[in-house]
Amino acid sequence: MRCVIAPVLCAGLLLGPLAGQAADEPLRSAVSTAWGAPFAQLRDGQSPEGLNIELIQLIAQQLRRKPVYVTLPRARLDAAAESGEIDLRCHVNAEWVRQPGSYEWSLPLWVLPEVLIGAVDTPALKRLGDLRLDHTVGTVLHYRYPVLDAQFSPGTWRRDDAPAVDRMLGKLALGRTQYAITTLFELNAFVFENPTRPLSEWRLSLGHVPYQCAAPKAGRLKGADLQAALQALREQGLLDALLRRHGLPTVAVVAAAGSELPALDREQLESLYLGRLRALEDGRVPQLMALSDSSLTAFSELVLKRSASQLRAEWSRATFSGSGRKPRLLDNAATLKAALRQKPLGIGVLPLHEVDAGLRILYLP
Amino acid sequence: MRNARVLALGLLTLLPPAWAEDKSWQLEGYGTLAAHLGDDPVVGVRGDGRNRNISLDGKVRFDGDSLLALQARYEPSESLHLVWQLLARDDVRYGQRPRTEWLYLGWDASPDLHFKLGRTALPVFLHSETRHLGYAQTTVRPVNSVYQLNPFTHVDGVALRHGRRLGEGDLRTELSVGSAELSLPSGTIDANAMASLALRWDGGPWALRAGMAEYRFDMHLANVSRLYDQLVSGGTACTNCAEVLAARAPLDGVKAHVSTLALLYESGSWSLNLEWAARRSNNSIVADASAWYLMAARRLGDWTPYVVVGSIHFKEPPLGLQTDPAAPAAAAQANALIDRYLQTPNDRRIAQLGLRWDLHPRAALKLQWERYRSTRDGRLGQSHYLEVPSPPPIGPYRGPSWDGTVNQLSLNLDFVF
Repeated sequence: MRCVIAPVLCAGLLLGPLAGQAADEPLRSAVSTAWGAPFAQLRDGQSPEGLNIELIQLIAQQLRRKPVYVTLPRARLDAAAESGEIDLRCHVNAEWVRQPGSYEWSLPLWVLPEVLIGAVDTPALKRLGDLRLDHTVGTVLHYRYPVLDAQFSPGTWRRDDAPAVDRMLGKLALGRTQYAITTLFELNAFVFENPTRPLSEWRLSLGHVPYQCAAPKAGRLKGADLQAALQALREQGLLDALLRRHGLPTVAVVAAAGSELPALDREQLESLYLGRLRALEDGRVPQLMALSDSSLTAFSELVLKRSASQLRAEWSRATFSGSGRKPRLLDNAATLKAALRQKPLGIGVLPLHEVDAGLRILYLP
Repeated sequence: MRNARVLALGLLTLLPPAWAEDKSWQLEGYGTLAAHLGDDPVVGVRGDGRNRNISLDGKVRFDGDSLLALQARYEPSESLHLVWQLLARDDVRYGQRPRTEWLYLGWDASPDLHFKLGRTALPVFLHSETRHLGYAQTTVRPVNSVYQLNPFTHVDGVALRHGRRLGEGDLRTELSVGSAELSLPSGTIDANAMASLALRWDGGPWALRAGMAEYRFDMHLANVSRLYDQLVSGGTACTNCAEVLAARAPLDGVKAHVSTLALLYESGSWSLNLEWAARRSNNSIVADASAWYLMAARRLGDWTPYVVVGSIHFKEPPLGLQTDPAAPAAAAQANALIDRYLQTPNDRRIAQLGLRWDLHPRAALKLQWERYRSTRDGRLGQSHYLEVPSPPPIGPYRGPSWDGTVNQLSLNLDFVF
């Protein structure tokens, strides 16, 4: 292509869909009435707020389009997407929708750790199989819970639906349900906002699910444009900044999905990663790993309560004093994941968006 | 040193042919590029107490803290490892020649219990094991008011380390026994028995460390022997020098004990270190002393400004050297000065202001100003971090007296690789 006469026009053409798609075309983005803090707060007569809303705004800015929020109950979202009423869905994954094939999916932006919790005096469950089927589990209307359906036959466990996450947790706090299933992030936000409404101290980890965005094929957004916008946000650090702004972690301490290592607390990780102790309480000696990128800084500050430079100074002290060994530092997430798969006692630190189904979260800051 | 070389050669023989591709081998290192200057025309300053050269009257020296260290580590099995650390830094005995700082065989008897056999650091102070590793320290160098109390930087022997959970924190116990030879220009100090015990508890942002070390050594120092001969032979008309020196300053069978306490707070942007040490001995040359320092630092992104205050105080009673009444008054004055000198009356206070800049994940640049202020008889002569020329009859210096204050400015680039 020659751009001799009108280089400005040509530049616009070459920039492609990110800049070329009509800037005045609205980005119709789904907002679910079932969302709760920190993802969304919907108040009558007010504009929606929260992490999901800010994410939509960031994507729209990147696409140079104006966000328009289409607020719908959970039950209407699939139909709206399939009929072309919306261009963008976030806070979603393929297991939660009716027809995954009717969307173009982004890569996971991060993962959502799911937990089962109980009412304040409910005995702690060690594993999901201990759940009594005559007890009710608080759920959100029209939400799907594949992990419970995988443990028990669909329809055999008693769900008690609420219209939104915060209502579901409110019912649990009142003792109207024995258990509830939610994400750790929503649970923490509820506890923070409702310090006087008691819930159980224990949390049973149910694994994690990906948080993705999707462009309905019937809508007016191409999946490639969505992914390019998210990639640009990732590279600019805006996705991590978004998580930090809402008090969510950007890194996770993980092991291979099949690892028998137990969940760890912050103090145990501090002892291990600073080389004060080599073994876990049961005597097993884990192999420690981390990435030598910005996730190390986040891990150092969030978990070890030190700056990255302080951490490196401590590791150099251990290396050259013979008092311990620094963790193995790897160049990229794929290498670290491969190393974890090979080492049953491997523990690694990864950015939250790199956590996948082959990994198990041992600790979230 | 000879034993260390034999051990090092033994280690080398274990090198596999394709060692560079063998993950059981690791080669790492650290170093410092440094410049420092002292501003006093009478008293010189050193970067390290074992430096050959001093900075005097504003002359910049680059050999004070500059150093390079290489460490090879070989792990023949999961529980065994061999470590050889070579260090090259200006030294009063070895010059710039590399010397074996550490060479040991480590064995993990269990995840919590670790043994070392060979040459290791004597873990007396907080930074004893990393006193040359500037990158690991906030300040340019360990605060010398405390660190000069133990001249033995390594021990040839056995070391044990045990770690366990205690309360809300972790307890580490370190025990070390062995011997060492300290080389000086005028001879050697042979420590035929050294033992140290250190306990450190880390919990959250706090750490508490307590240590003790016992030494028994003989001094073979020509300059001290000459001074003794001069006193005992009646050169200063001393009537009781033979008895007093034998009782108070014997060159053989010296016993010393060092106790240490340290408290650390390190969390978020603030860092506080308080370290105290006391030394007791049966020899006035190894004077009883107590010393401390307090460091406060605040991290502001990659920048860490810090401030340090500290002091050292010697507590050696007079030896009571007596002069023949028939001798001239000058002889009595000389004996009184020598008596005073042998009490090591070099009390001083120190203050530091500094700035550390972590300019790279593996490098830090530090600028530090340090002020030494003599608080007692520092003009009689000393030779360590400060080089104070000795006036007659102790030394030949006849120039202007020191005003008791000297400033040292240091600029160091510390790195690890």
